[in-house]
Amino acid sequence: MQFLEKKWKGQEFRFFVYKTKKGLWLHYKGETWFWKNQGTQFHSIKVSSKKKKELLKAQLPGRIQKIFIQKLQRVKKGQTLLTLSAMKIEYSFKAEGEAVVEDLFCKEGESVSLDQNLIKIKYDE
Amino acid sequence: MAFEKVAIANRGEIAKRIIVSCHELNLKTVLLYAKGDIQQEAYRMADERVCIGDSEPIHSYLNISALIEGAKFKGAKALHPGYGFLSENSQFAKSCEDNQIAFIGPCSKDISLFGNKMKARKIAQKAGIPVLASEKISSKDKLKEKAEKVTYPLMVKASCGGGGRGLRLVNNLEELENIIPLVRQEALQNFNKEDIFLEKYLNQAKHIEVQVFISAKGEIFILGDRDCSSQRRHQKIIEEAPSLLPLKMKEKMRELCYKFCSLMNYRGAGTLEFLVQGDKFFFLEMNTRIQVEHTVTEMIYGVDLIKAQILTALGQAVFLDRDLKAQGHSIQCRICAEDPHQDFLPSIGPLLSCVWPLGQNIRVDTGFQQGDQISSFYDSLISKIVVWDTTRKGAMQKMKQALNQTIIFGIFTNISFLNFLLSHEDFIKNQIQINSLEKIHKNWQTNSLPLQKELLESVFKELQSSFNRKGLKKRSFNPWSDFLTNKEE
Repeated sequence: MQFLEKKWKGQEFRFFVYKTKKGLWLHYKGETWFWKNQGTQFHSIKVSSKKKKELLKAQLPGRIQKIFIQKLQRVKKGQTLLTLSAMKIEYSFKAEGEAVVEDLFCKEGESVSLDQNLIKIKYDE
Repeated sequence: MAFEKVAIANRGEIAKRIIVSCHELNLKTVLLYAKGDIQQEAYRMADERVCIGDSEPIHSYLNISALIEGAKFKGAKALHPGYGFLSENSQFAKSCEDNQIAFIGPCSKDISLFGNKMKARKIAQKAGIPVLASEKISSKDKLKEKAEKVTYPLMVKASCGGGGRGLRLVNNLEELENIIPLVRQEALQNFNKEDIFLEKYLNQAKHIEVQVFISAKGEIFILGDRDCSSQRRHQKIIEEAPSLLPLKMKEKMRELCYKFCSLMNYRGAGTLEFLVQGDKFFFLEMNTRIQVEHTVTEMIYGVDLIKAQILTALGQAVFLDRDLKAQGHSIQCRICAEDPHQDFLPSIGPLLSCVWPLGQNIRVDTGFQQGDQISSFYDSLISKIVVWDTTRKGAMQKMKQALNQTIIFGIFTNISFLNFLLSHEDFIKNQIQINSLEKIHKNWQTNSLPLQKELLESVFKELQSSFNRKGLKKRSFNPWSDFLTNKEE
């Protein structure tokens, strides 16, 4: 772990930095950032892209608790698509806008691994 | 019952916590652990270990016969269940009893009695403790009438639920009808019983609980209260002791809790949970396990509740050396592997680096250290940071300092949100209620960038350009050279 002081607009900031082969971790007052190493490009996973995700993946391994939609169903913004349970927590996947469910890759009760495809969804233009 | 070796049917920080108390009492410990769950403090500290099944809790930490076999195999004559998992499972306690293993906790009969919330409510009523309106639900009949009798909003609860699971809030009949099968399913899955009931929901309440302890001889100790209102989805994240309720109400609660305890033959640690709204308080349930937040009570009373549990199982006296008077104020923050920026999405991975706070009256109960792995099979609680000071204000200051000292790399934690909550006006004024956190979190998300994006990008560019010079030979003045030697864990 390394220490970095930085002056910015007259203010001083202190960061802690930790580098691994996969990327770079930055810590400031309880807040953590991670930049993924992609070639020489770094990418912050904290800054989510504006583009709506059309292929929903399991962000963590767990069990599919409940599926609320069917294939080819139309969904509204904010509608819960499915819930995944892991680490005693229930995590809901929600539609980011008006869309159609194109494909469903999982069943209720199924154990899914990290990054496994769950739902393919097509947002309206 | 005499014993020299204690089996521990748990993991993480509580398993380690129990091992430490056992060692202080010169007792040997056996950790009953799940396959692969070896990157944790408890595994390294236990005197002996037995693998009792696969990683999934259902095959290991929830597998009664495997746990009993493991304890017997190593000759442990006592077992501590910790919290969660089977800690409030009367069948498990019964199996221990049947196998001449002292279950460190109440007897199976009492666990089963209090595990049923409807029955616990009856005892509370007998002791004169107010309870909320409620109705038992058997089948679909009279659902509408029953709900209207309780009045909306109301909670649908699993009779045998616990740990914040098996309960849902509903506002109308339509929601109620939709939610009942869900709660039944969850109850069946988690608690193996599908009985449910309706209970009035208070939307401006505080969650207050009273710690009780009854020694082997039957002496009743009421160890004050805790305010655990800071919770999200029924999972507490900050707890403190004592609560700031008016003294008169505290005295009344204490008196009623004493009466409640004297009505039965219960032994060991217990927690009576209440909802407090305005000048009224209502009994919710009695927990028969040691709780995650027992630490704040320990800090203000200067006692060791786990040790007291073990001594009680041994039939020995407790708190002999203590003048049981609460002093000062204690706060606990739960450090969880959850990303508050992504709706508390669990974060898994290796703890590449972790620095815990040190200092006067700062206590860290951690289950994991640098190099350990946070796994998706289990709860996201990594550690608990507990502070004590003479005043609440002092304790809040100390906690902020402690959180600022805590640095974790490898996973995302809820520390930034805890920090924010500690500085929030509602927390400072002690006005947090059980449903406050959802609102506070939403507010935080919309204006929570602690640093400007440009600053981060600039820092990052600076670091990146130094890494890109990697091809060049290290120069002694290169301030980044040390980064390049960090090994991937």
